[in-house]
Amino acid sequence: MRKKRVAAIMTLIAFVLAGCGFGIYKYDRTKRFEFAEKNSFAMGTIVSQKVYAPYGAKHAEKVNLLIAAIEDVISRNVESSAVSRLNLTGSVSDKDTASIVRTCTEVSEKTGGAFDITVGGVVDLWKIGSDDARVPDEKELQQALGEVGYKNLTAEGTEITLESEAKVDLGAVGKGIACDSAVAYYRAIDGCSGAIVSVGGSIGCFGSYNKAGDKWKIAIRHPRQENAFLGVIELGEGFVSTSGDYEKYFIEDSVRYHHILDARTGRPASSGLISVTVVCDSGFLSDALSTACFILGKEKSEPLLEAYGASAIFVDEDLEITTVGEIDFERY
Amino acid sequence: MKGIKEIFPSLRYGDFIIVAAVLVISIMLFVFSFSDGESLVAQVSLDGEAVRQVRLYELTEKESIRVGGCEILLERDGVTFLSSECPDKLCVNRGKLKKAGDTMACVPERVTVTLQSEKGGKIDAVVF
Repeated sequence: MRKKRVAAIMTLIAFVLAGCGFGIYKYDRTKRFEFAEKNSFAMGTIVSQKVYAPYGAKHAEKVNLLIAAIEDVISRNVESSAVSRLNLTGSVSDKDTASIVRTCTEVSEKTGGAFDITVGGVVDLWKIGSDDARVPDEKELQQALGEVGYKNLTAEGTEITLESEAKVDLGAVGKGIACDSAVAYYRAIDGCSGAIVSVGGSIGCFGSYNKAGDKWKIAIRHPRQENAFLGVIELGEGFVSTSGDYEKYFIEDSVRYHHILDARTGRPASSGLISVTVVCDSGFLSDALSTACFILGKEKSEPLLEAYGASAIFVDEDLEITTVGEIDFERY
Repeated sequence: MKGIKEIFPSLRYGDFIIVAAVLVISIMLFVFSFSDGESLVAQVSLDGEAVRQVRLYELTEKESIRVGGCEILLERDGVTFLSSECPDKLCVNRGKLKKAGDTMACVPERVTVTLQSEKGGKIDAVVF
């Protein structure tokens, strides 16, 4: 009788626990989509993708090829790219690059030249992000700065002309453009319920990772604490870019020289900000605007953000955080 | 309760207290397992292909591994690039990667380290 009782107790417990386990299993199965995750390299940086679609890994592979193809057209580091040929000869014909130049010129006009893609020659002098980073000689800086000016760059149809010795550098927008292409690709995949891509820290997201349609959680890196997060943005679909003084910089005589150069002065921007994160419906624009806002400072950025329907999170030197526009941000 | 009594006639009412106690303990263990720390798992990849996946919380001592031209230190609370043959050393200067959802890479050596939480990542990407 005693044995029977123990057996009955055990059986009852087993039934209930098995039921709980099956419930959790079913809940998990219905909650999640088919999923692939991939890290790869393109544009001289890391490309991370999470793709919720059948054959997700193959699609991630294709997106990587797509980004590499963009790099082949717009990178200054690729000798045969349209941008390299433009810098070398002063003119080039390329439909996509012409369209990029037009948008960049528009942002330049709206920022009074603070954002300017013809700043490449000045970037070359500072060499920030390499072992040879240095404060350039004032004379050579002024000489390079004399060539800078978005008004010397025109794009008519597919033809681009550069009427100075300046060098065009699309480093401020390239990753965002890559995110745009990736998201356009995910959108076209049959059965893709969601995907998120990071190209060197610029983010593009589409759909959701679950059937409930929950938003993506995107952490913003803390500008002063090593490998910590400042907070989290929740975003359904859209693009996020950050510009900060902490990613590429060098310190000389206790001065931090970072890589975001103000095209009007040829020097690292000093608007009192240390990080700006922009959320927008275009990766290209979120990248361009984060750079532009970082240079302009919070006050002058507000009309710019409004003009493009973008929102932003500003962090100043005292680590004070302010937001502009509608943004779902939770500070840690 | 009558129904269960009919299926298991040998059970006494006290036995149901034992069953209930076991269930309560099970649920507590389940909840506890989902709230205890981050349970970090590190995935180390070379050229996009995973070469090692390590449950950091199971490590009893620090472990150093060599992937490509990089030496990587695995610890219970995070992962560090100890050294690299790359020219810029950006990976080494990144310090210790500690948060689930974060990734770091040595681009020239094509090595990536991604941290995930075994209990379901709360972060989908990191903007920087």
